[in-house]
Amino acid sequence: MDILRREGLAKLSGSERYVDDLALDDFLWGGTVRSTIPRGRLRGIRFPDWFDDEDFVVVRAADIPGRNSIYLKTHDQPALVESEIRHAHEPVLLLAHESRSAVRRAVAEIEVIAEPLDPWLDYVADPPPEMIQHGDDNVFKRIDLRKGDVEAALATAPIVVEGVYETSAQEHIYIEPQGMTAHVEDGLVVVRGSMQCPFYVEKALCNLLGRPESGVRVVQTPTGGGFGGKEEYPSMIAGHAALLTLEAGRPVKLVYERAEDMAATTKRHPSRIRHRTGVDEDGKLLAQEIDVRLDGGAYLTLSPVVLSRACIHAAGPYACDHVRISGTTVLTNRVPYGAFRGFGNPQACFAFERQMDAIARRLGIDPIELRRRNLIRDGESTATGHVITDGTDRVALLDRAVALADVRAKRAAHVTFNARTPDARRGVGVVTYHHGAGFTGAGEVEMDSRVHVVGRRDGIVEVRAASTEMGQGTITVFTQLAAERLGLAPDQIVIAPPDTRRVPNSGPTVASRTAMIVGHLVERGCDDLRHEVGLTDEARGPIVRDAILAWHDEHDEDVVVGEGRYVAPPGIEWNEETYEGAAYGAYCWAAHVADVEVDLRTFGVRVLDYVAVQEVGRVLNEVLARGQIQGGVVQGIGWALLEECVERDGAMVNTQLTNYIIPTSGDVPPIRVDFLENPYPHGAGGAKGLGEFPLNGPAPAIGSAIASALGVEPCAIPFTPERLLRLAVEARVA
Amino acid sequence: MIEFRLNGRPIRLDVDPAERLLDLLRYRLDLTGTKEGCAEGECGACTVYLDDLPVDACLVPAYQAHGREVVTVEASDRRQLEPFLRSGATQCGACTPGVVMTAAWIRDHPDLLETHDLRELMAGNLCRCTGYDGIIDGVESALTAHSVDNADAATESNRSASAPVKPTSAAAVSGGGAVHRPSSLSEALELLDAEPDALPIAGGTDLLVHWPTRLDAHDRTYVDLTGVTSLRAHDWTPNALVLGGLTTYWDVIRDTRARAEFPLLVDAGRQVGAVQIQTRGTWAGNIVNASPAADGVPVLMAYDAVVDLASTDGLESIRLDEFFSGYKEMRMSNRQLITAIRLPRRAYDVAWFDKVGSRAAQAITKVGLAVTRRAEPAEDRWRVVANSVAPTVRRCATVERLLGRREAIGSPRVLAEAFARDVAPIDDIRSTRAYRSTVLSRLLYFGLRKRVDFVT
Repeated sequence: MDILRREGLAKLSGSERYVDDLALDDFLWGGTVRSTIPRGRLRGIRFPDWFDDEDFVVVRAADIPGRNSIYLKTHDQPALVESEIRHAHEPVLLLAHESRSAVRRAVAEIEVIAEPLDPWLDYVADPPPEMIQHGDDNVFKRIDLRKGDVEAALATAPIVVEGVYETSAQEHIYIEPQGMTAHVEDGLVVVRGSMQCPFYVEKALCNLLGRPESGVRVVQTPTGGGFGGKEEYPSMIAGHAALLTLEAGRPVKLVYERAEDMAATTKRHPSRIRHRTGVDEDGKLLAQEIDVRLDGGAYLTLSPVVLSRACIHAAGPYACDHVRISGTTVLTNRVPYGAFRGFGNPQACFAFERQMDAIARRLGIDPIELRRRNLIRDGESTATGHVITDGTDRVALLDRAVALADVRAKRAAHVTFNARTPDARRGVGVVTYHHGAGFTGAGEVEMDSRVHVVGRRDGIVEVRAASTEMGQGTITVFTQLAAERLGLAPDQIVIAPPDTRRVPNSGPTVASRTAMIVGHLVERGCDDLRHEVGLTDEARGPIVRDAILAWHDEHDEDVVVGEGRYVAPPGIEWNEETYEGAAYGAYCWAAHVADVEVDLRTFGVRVLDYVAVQEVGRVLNEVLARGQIQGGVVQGIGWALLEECVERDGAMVNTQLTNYIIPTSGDVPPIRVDFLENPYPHGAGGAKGLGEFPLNGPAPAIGSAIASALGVEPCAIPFTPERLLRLAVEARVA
Repeated sequence: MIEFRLNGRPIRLDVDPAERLLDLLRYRLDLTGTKEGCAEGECGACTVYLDDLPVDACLVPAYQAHGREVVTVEASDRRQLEPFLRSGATQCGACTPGVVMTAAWIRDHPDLLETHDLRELMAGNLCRCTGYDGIIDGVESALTAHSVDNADAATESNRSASAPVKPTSAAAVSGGGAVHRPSSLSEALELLDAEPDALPIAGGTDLLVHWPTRLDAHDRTYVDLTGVTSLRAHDWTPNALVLGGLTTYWDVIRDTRARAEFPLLVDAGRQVGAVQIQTRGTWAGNIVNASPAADGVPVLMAYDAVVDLASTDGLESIRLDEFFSGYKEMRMSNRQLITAIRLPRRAYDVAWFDKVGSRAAQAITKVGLAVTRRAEPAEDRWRVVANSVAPTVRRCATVERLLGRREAIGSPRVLAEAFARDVAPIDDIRSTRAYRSTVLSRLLYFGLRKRVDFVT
């Protein structure tokens, strides 16, 4: 039962109100004064002559009522610098004023006085003692994953192929910049704004303000894109807005300018991944030794978890008996890196798929055939020893993508084109990969997520969950799942706005877990609601509504509550110490084909055709699912070809949409999407998570296509024309 | 006090000279459907119509709405939005109102598709969610649905607003500046004479970029030229195409005669920003902004453009290739305005323009090249003009002389050596010196190879 996006007309007609659109009475505009150097000691703050501190609300670190940290996993990141500056654009002082222009002027002219220290900006080398700023080695997290005996297998392998692959930072560019409002209402600090995870914000506010959960209320407003960028950083902005409103005694609105958002908030972790692969003459993988390094930036944020996902995926969707993956994420004096769609796997996937191409070239085997020979068959295991038995035919998936893209005909046509065209070259690239759906390991069990499905006095069924709508379709999919489960019309279902005082904690809106995991809790909540009103599991349709109305005739409570609570699927074992076992409840599988043309005048790359075949369990809503894949692919094309964070002294300097380049409609072809469906018994309606993983494919697929077009091997993204020209000159193509 | 029509209703209010149309709509008229995504005319989330053309409201000073018709997304007919809903044109929704405005404009002007494709027309609206397919599919089905509607003569106006339009609060952006709004050229010139520090403003596509945080700019005095309507039109005389001081890229792009006689103007115009910028940006503004990356200037220079400058002292004319004297320096005083740009009507047997930007639209040029050769034999038939490779847009005299000799050229290297005497590219945030010089000679080499026999 596909329904149309429920909030779609409100968005199309402009009536949807985002945080900066909301009415707020008698409010002040907030602003943030930031550090200008990557590392140093704060010595003071110099105010301009005209600045009147009676006229402005000012908040310093000393004014923080609770603990000065943005608490998620650790307390290492302060809300406001006390003395140690660890990165550029680190918040030092908060301001608020009735005039937005006055705030902007003050932010521009207030000077942060600091004694600079040499920054540490190398995430690959070991830091000298004076550069240690975290623990005794700057390492946020180390992972060592072993399967079989990789050293012995490499020693005896007939052929060993080595490669080093690098990916750069990526900025999310949600079109709605980050923002929050805060005010005090009935003794509660109320924060509203653009966010993915209201309960992360609640936890951070309680810590920062020294209040119990009952003393704060966090409400998500319609969120104009997140992609991971509104997973952890909103806790910072919410904290700042709350501090300002407490100081001011008036509502405060803190909305970032685009440049501030780009400079100060998190980005995708840069990576350097080294592969040493032992193979036999037929291309069978004998041993994979992989070293993963991620730049964590100045604070821990979510880097250990990102590293974890990167390492678990680093060997690819291939069967190999001997694997060793070592991973490290370390501190540098850069703006902290954080969550971004794919969460470490795009980096891993770029490396393992480019490595597969390197192996194919070395052996003279067709790269598609090499992948066919090594893809995991049911009964074989992943790098963590997870024996895959999901029944998906991964070779058939690959072949379907190859057929849909008509790779054979394209290759033949390219030979002719390349021979006849003096100023262009064409090539096609094929990749295949996997993506673990939902939290890693025991994450879901620890989260203990809950959803309430309540029957209201008016007979309407209301779904109460913390899952946020940020464009990916939560509201529509939850409506569909509840309507289907209860046999009711979609307009009999209401999805409550995520409000921490009103909805239970169903976990953060991350990791492609919303439809699969939380959606399943919606289904369970529907079942429980049916029991609460005295119906059996089979009851569907109008009798459900009748039973809810009847229940209310006999009870005084506002609502009758059905609860869906997480129960781990059977047979899922994961060892967090050794990284062995089922890292995820399920994997999604994909094969992508990119067809490109390289302009030999400019070394610009144009994607001529793109095919994405995805195995996602079950598609719950065709339009939404296709939109997720197409959008993820285009975001991946941007990362592969265009998006580069230009850095100076540890800070991004191209903080505008005019020089941080994301694709326009003219830069991408239609993205051709095909789904394979193999229902996952523990996901809502058979679904697995699909939002993140389309992004993994484009960088390696386009890299492969460029390699085939030019005869050079690009091992680092973005594949900018400047970089390709250098490679072409080295290879004497230009 | 300004007066204009907003979604069909008359509006009268006072505006601050530093207030943008976007601020006025969002923060004082509570029309929050128009979103702010970048404040620099890149994302298109603030697309509205100004006299039936899509523009970025972040680049329009509020006072320029005076006397004009402004339409925002709030005026949309909900029934006509359904194709976009069905196609998946909206996900997070932040870009969506801007997308809807551009898409509805295309739907209402299907003749645009005779010269443009949908992906080019939509390139002024950045979307980070959909990958654009849902949007393009939506416009396509809206075009079909619309023609059916027209057949049914369902012509209910979508210009009737439902939202209230009374001001709600003080300007969100304010400053200590002033603006003069002359209605004739002589009045404008007198104002510039009296206040030499006043800055003329027309399309605002450069002056309003990042306006909210450029606080010093809020305190200046501006002379808004948009009321000097005599400068708007372009004109065809027997010997020349004469662009007015306020002629926009879009005016030229939509002129079929320009497409036939001066195709490089149309090529270059279509590569400036995207539609929302082309409808506002002026050729004269592109010249006086004096950017070495100016996209309009190379093609004008390649067509031997002459610039007419007016002041209270009178009129003078100067060849465009002699107009720039150094980085951001021009042979023009603060008291002068460009009133016309004259292009001789001639036949050319070679003419092309290459822009190398970082993406297909909305790109600042990394290296650009305009080349023409006059059809009638003459000693100096060639014009080779490059941008973004020197402190000014530059005519490349050494290269022109080399081509004039018709000696055999068999690789880009010979051209690179000649260019080295004409241009001096640098490393900057957008590209590198090495890339620029290599690509410049390759553009010329491969372009010539297709067009002349002495290059092989």
